[in-house]
Amino acid sequence: MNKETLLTSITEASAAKKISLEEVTHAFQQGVGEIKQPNKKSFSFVNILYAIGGIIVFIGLILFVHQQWNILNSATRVFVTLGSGIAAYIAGTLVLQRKSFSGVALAFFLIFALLTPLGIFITLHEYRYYSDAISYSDIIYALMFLGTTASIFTTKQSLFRIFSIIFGSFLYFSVTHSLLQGSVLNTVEMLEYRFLLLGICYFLVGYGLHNRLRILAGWLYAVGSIIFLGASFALGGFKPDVNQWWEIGFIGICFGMIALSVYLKSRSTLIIASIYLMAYILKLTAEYFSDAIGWPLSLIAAGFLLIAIAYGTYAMNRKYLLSGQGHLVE
Amino acid sequence: MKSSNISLIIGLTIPVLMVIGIALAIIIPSRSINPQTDFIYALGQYPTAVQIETGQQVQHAYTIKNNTLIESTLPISQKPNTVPYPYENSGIPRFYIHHTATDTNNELSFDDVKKLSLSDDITSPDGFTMTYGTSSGGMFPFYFEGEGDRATAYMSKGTGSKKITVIAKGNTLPFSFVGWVIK
Repeated sequence: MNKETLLTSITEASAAKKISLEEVTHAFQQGVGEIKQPNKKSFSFVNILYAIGGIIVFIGLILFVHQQWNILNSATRVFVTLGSGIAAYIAGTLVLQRKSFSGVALAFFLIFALLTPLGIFITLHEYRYYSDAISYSDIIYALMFLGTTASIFTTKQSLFRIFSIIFGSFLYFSVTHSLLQGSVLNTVEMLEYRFLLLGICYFLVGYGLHNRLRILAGWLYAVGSIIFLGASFALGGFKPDVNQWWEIGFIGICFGMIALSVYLKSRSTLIIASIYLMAYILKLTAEYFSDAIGWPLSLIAAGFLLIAIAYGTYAMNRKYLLSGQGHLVE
Repeated sequence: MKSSNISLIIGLTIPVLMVIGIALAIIIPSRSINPQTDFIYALGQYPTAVQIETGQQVQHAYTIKNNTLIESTLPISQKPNTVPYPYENSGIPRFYIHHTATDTNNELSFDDVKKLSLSDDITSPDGFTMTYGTSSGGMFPFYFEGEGDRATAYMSKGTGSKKITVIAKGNTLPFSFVGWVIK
């Protein structure tokens, strides 16, 4: 292929929006050695092995404590669970000093994040903690949230970002759960609103981290989409307990999310919004049209609509997301 | 400030504001409520209890009619040599009165309860309803008791509520609300 043919091919691909400027630049830079790609696949695979190792150690410890539970006194129970969690954190911090052992540190930190909540729970239980106002889970998740958030800055490990978000979310649910005990506000609808707000928060935090932590932002968009759309869907209710505002508004929310997926370049948001739109059509078909026009005709109509949504998703993905893969967030 | 930073700050602030909002909506009204109406509750099977009497299953049903708790019995035919459920001596409920002003409880006999004027309305004469919640134990989302269980009871009015002490621990069945005592 000569130079002119190559440039013409690039022009054609660019006009058809099959290739972005970033891809062309990236390919050029690779050729002149400006970008040295890390061996991501093998690195991720090794990390997965470390994580599996950490999870297996955690399961082993749980089984051991369960087997020996009756012969252990309170102090030993606390020592084995909470003590092991703290020991794993210290070991992870020490191992992290050697750069080549960062994967091993990840396994230790994973053991810490999984085991310590259980250790705090056993400590509270063994020493008969009771409070009307502050529940076990308030204390556990508050401590874990503070610990993992502080560890983001001290260890610079991305694992703690994930656990900070998880424990922060659990703390939010736990504290609101404690506050709502005995109140007439403690309803399923309130739970759905709590989820709805959390979904919005995931999006906002994801957008805030979009340029700095693209992979984490992608996950936040995906989980945020599931939570936000799930809560909106549930707020619409099911016949006969339907909230018409939410039920009618859900279609607008779905299309809004699809538009947002284009703006955020988030393929996962596009796919999740499309799946929820399909679920919404099936729900409406079952609730309103199956009795009026019968199940067979309802299914045919719903089936065509689902095909249309699937094609629309595919077309949008190609036109707006694949064309700008340089910024694409999974 | 960059839009991404504003987004991050708002995203992290919303859950905090939600917690503060719920706290204000509940704690402030809770301070100003003062329930006064006593109520009767039952431990054991209520409003329908089944007991073995002279070798036969007998169903005891309790209802409030004309502000009085009444009991009706109905023998249930059963196959011979069949172990009836529930097991013997586990059937008849025990009744308690909760003194709301002092947050204390006393056991009453069925005859004593019959003498009281009761209302089985959801709302008490002074506008309170019974609500329930989980205890302090458990770990979200794996509570020992499910959401909305009866480990803890409250009297609620509006968005405010006051925790009350009822005798419920050590029983296989949660307590059952019978009726408000009408003064």
